[in-house]
Amino acid sequence: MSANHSRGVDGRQGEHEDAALIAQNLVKRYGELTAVNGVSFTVATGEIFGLLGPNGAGKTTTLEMLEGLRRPDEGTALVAGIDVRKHPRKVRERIGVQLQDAGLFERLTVAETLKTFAAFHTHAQPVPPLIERFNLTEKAKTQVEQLSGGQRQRLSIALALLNDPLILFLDEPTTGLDPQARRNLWDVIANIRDEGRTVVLTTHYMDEAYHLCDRIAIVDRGEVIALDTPNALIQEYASGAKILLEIEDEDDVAWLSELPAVERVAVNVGVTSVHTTSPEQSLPALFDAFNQREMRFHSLRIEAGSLEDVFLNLTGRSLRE
Amino acid sequence: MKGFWAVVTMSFRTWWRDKSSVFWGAFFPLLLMGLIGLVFGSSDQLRFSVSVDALEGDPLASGALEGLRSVEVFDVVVEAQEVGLQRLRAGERSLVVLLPHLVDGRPSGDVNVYYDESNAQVNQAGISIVAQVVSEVNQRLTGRPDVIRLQTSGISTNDLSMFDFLLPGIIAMTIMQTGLMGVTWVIANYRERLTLKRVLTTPFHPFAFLAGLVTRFTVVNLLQAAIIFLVATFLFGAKTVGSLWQMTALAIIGSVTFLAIGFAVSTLSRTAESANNLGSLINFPMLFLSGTFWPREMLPEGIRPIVDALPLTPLVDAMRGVGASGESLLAYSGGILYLLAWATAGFAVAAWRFRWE
Repeated sequence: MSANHSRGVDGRQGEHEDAALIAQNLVKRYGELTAVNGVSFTVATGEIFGLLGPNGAGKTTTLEMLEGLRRPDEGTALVAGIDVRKHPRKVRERIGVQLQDAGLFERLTVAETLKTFAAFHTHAQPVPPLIERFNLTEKAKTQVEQLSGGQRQRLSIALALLNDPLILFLDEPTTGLDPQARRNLWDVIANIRDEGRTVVLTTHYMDEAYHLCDRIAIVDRGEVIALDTPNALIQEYASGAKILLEIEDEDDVAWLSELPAVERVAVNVGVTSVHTTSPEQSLPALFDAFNQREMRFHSLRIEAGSLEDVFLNLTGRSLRE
Repeated sequence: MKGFWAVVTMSFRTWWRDKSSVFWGAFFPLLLMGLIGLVFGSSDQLRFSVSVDALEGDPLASGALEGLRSVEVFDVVVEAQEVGLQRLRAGERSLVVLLPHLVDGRPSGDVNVYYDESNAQVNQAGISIVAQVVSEVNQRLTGRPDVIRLQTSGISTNDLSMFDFLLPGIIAMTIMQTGLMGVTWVIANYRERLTLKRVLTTPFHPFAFLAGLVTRFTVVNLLQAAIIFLVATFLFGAKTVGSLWQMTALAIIGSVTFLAIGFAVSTLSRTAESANNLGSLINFPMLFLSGTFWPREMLPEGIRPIVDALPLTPLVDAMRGVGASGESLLAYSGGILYLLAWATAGFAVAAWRFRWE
């Protein structure tokens, strides 16, 4: 577990008076398609709140309704104390928005980009400290089109912080980045939360949701299907474990499901996974059974429940599909 | 307001850093102009038919005449001034020179040279040769440099040189292309890359953003027109007889009109690529039909009503009327109103159809 994830383990419910954001029954339809179907949640001030779900689940649409960029067909949202439906432009003075791979002016340098966008705000933070904070000092005079993916994303978040916002919205902030750049960005985001801002982000990465978010709303087909801290979600929806085996004769695995506490058995690319509600009960029985049958396995691994399992258990589908 | 200027600055920087757009904007039109001028342009021969009126037997006049005759590229014809001027107007003479004679041992006046105004290259070369001859005669006769001086007067013939004709058309063409190709591509590209949407995430008013773009494109248009004007004038010898202020006013009106049409076009297409193609589709027929490169009279009678309805036509007409013929802008107020109607329609379509993503 990451050191970033030291807060919010106790499952803050977010229903406090100091809520940064309250979404109530948001609905958005595009013709026949209902992209968002009655989404409600409350985000507490100073937490990192994640919308986790597969592509097309309605995360971005939800976010854009909260940002005042899309008008909800039904429902309302109170963002930083402002009714988004009534004052979509006024909200933007109090929030910072980073859009999923939104365009920058490719031929402007990093410093020029920040200065240009600073001019679009009524009150903007001074640019040089932001450049320094986001580790872009060496690249300040580099044109945007020559930046790496990680540097672009850092610039993108720096832009979202220009107006010193109460709430920061990040849409898929680490998509397409290499693991190191991703870790780096997690630190940046946790840091923003630690200075008292609220962060609302979307992601389809389980590890990102787990390590970075204080609370998660799992979104599927336009609805929130579960909402809690990462650990509480795992506790509730994926309490068991997976015993992963590589067996010589993987055609004959049906007997494994007879073992105590085993729920089901699946074979996937040479790996047999035995889902158990209690590894303590299943494992000794498993070893005995192998001895009795004089069978061998090449490897054995135990995986605790993850958000992936939470999603699988809730929807019957894998998040990666 | 600071946001507006930030857009102008940003847009100007990105334009300047994209060297290809600078090339297409200013140097391509000049290249086109040079090529067309070379191919269709002048039959400027390197010989000058010089008509000389000189008092026979007068030592000063005959000395000067001898000097002019000694110039290899001059075909000197001695004839009365009136006859010479008539032939100059008919295009049969390049220069008409009136030589002074001696009265009581002093010159009766200066050397007068008449030339064809619409043929700048020819007369500049010719006049400078005559000036040399005059100064030689001065030296030889008196040892003093300036007993007689050279005086020149332009005679307007109705024949415009090819470059005089091309310059206003090329400027109009450049303005149209900035609108139909430049702005269309930039806007569609900003939309496709979600740059417009990102601007929308700030409290900055989107129309101020668009106003900033209109401003920078207009300024760039004027800059390009100025470069084309200067190069055409000093390199190709194109002449502009009309008011430069009125030309500038026309350039601004044309600029705003074609920017509006460009905005409208950009709302009709989803990608930058297709916006650009649509722009070209409208751009190229106008380029060849509206009389940019050759007089519209050369086009078949049947398509004339269509040609007259194209928005580039009144801009080319007014530019050429003011620039090459020295007419007043007011003479073209009908065409200007027609342009402004297009501008209004363009902005209306853009406002109605505009999407940020």
